[in-house]
Amino acid sequence: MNPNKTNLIVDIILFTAYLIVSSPALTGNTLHEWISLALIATILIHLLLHWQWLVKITLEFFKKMFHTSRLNWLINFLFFTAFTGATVSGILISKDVLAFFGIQLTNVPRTWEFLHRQTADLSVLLLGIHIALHWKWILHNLHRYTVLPLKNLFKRQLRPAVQPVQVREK
Amino acid sequence: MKNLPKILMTFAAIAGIFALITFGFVWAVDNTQWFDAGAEGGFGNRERRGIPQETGSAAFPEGFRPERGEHHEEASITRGLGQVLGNLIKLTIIIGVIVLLQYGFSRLPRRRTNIPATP
Repeated sequence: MNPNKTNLIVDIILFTAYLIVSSPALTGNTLHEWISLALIATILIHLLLHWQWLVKITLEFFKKMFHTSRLNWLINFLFFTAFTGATVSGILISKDVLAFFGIQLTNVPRTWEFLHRQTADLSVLLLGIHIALHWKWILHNLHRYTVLPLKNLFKRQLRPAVQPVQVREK
Repeated sequence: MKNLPKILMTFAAIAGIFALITFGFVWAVDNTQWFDAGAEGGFGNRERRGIPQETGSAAFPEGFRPERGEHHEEASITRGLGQVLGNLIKLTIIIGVIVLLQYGFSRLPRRRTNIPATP
């Protein structure tokens, strides 16, 4: 499959999962915890797909400081940090996932609950910036892989069907 | 299969960064008081607002006091869709502002580089 298409599909899944996870009232606590775990796995795939870019920019970070890719890198790093904070605190205050694995944590400070909310809110903000910095790519590929195929589908349907014509010999 | 060692190494690198950041958070919670004020004072602690006090006339009846955050554990389509809509509005505003800023910067006249040399 085309790498752009793969990236777009993974990103759409990530975005949808993120919206669901950041609205725990929609799913209830149990589903919120399990979908969050699935989101972590999807983020791992997302990171894996962009690993070469990450390594390249990390190695060149201090060579040319003021460049869009550096800003991108910085936002991505902050986003990953906030997401890690939300994940760790989420695991520590988890009630269903840990119980499923037979783990019960006692005396977890309330600070983790506070940290979970703050990092989750920060993640939404950083997700917005992350999307905005890739806006052109998103629009271009959405048009290419969703709008254009739909347009072509309708064009094909509107075209008159070719019917066999019998030609009589004189 | 040829890429498997490379993928495993990448996973290990991601896990390493994850572990470092986690260590940072755990250290900050255990050894600093950066987050204590917020956790105790209710700053950003939306779930605790509106919960009646534990004693006195406004206390919960016996057996009905919710565990912390319990009133957010049950799913509610209305509240959930409200949260989704709220997040979508937040994201739209952020994306809109940044895309407009980028557009504005791209319209700025570029610095001229072909300055003729003085005779």
